Amino acid sequence: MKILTAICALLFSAALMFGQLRFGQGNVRKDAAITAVTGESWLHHLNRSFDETSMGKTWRLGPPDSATEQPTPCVRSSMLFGSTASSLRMETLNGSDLYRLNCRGCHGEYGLGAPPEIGSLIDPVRATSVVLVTQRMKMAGMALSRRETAELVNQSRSVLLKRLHEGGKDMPSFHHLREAEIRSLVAYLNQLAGVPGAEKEQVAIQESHARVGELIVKSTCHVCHDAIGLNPTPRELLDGTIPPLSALPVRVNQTQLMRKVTSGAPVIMGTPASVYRGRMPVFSYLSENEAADVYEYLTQYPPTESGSSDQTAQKAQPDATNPPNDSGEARVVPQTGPARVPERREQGDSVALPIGMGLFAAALLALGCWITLREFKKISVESQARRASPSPGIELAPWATLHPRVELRIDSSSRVTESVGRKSSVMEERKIS
Amino acid sequence: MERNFLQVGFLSMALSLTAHAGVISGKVTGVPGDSVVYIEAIAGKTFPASAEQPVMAQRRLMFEPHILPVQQGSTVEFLNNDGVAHNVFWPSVGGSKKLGHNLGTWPQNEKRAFKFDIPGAVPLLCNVHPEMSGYIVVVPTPYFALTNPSGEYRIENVPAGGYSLAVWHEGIKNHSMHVDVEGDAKADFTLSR
Repeated sequence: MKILTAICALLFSAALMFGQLRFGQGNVRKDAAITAVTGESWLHHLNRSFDETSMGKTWRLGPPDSATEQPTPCVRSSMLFGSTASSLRMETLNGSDLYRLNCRGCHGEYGLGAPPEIGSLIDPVRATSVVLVTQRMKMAGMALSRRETAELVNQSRSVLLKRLHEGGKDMPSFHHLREAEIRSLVAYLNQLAGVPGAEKEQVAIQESHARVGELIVKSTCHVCHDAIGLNPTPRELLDGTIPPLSALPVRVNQTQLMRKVTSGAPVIMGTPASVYRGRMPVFSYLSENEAADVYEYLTQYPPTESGSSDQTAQKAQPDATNPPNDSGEARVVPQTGPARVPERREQGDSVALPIGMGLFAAALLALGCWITLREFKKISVESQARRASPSPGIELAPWATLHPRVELRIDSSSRVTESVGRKSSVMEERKIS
Repeated sequence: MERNFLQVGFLSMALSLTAHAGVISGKVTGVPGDSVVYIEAIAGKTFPASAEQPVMAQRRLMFEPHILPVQQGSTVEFLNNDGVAHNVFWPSVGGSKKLGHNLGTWPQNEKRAFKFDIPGAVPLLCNVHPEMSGYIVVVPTPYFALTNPSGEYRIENVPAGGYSLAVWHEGIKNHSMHVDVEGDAKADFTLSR
């Protein structure tokens, strides 16, 4: 039986491998709505140095320079089989996750920012709530009609959404966010800002791993890292050069990046090259899988110089996510509905899985036939032996006389159990059952 | 000859006006912060507002200046100097809630203007940033001044005469006193909460 189980497992994993390898071929399956990160870092855009900003900083640094390489405990299975398939598997994200991936790097866990450079987003969000604005106006002694209150709230809402889409002088644009993402994110912003009833309005969405990586890269990594450039020398690193995102695959592998992002890793800098703690903040609020998503995104959608590809994000957005909810009502988490329509698949990929499963089924069928035939043979041999046993003229098959006897006892719950120390033969098991 | 006579006439008038124009100065004590000292409405006299448009800016999430005295009839420009949008509203003018107004919400480097025709203090608020607060103090005459950090003020070019001089301070009821201006006049206020 063990052998049979092993054979089955082997066949099954072979079929899966076939499917996975087929998926991974040439990294052809891409999400059309995902675009490469482009252009200079946001700090370069602002002409602001790394040392004089709070943007993208978590105020946590990596381990001391004496830290040695530790094996990363969590390695996603996709890393063994090829990454593209996993990057297109969907993951459920809540608004709080979207906040974490998009906003937390600058605005912090509670949305308070780091004034005066980074403003709090709490008050601008509170200004979009009819209840809170009415309360505030009442406290200020301002008698506003419902229409005037609604007007004020709508002004604040459009300001907030405009800010999210277009950014500002100090805040980068988040035009790559899709409508469903914004809806989910804004629902969480309301909760974060203490808008009454907001917790009931939370919306979960489905995202591919590549999309998760894209969000992290564009909102957080790109604050400090240029999209493309030369891989800096240890000397340049010591002088303050921040490596471009395009140099990432040269500098680290996926496992190293996961560690670097989530718990920090030493950096080799200077001449002679020495190990330093490094300046990159530790993003302990990102999971290792999310850091792996960053790597997958950057390798599948390599950074480019021009900003043109980035513009397509908005155009592609209606296909890539669930259509806007016409009723305008947010769905309540936990989300139990069907997964959103995933990204478009190419023809060849849709064939690969059925072929793999077909092979597996055929192998199972062949195995079944073989076992059946074997059993028939055994039965016929045994019946011959039984008939021949009184007759000294016929010799018993050797196994018919030598195999150990099996004692069976029936316990109180009428379950048949095997006595300890005895091995059953296929034949006797069959008789009992 | 006639022209010379006229010139002498104008000169003497000017001299006599200058001689009669006085200065009111003094100090507001008892409470911290700026105060606005002004001459209250003078019966039978109106003063056209200056064509200048004073600016109340929003900068670093504050109204700047915190207190802006303007003459009645002035148009004030509200300029957003911040990278974020601001809203400006006032729940009342001179305590009259009927005069409350919402000026709207606008982004950086844009401005809105509003003409203040009715005297009184205008408490400014921003719906987006509750911590923001400022005041426009609309006064009925061109004779007003804002105190310096020491509480001192100086109102110049006040024609000779008797006036009711008032002081406005944030959160305190207006006080007034009679002042006779003949040359320089002194008027000190001691306020308490």
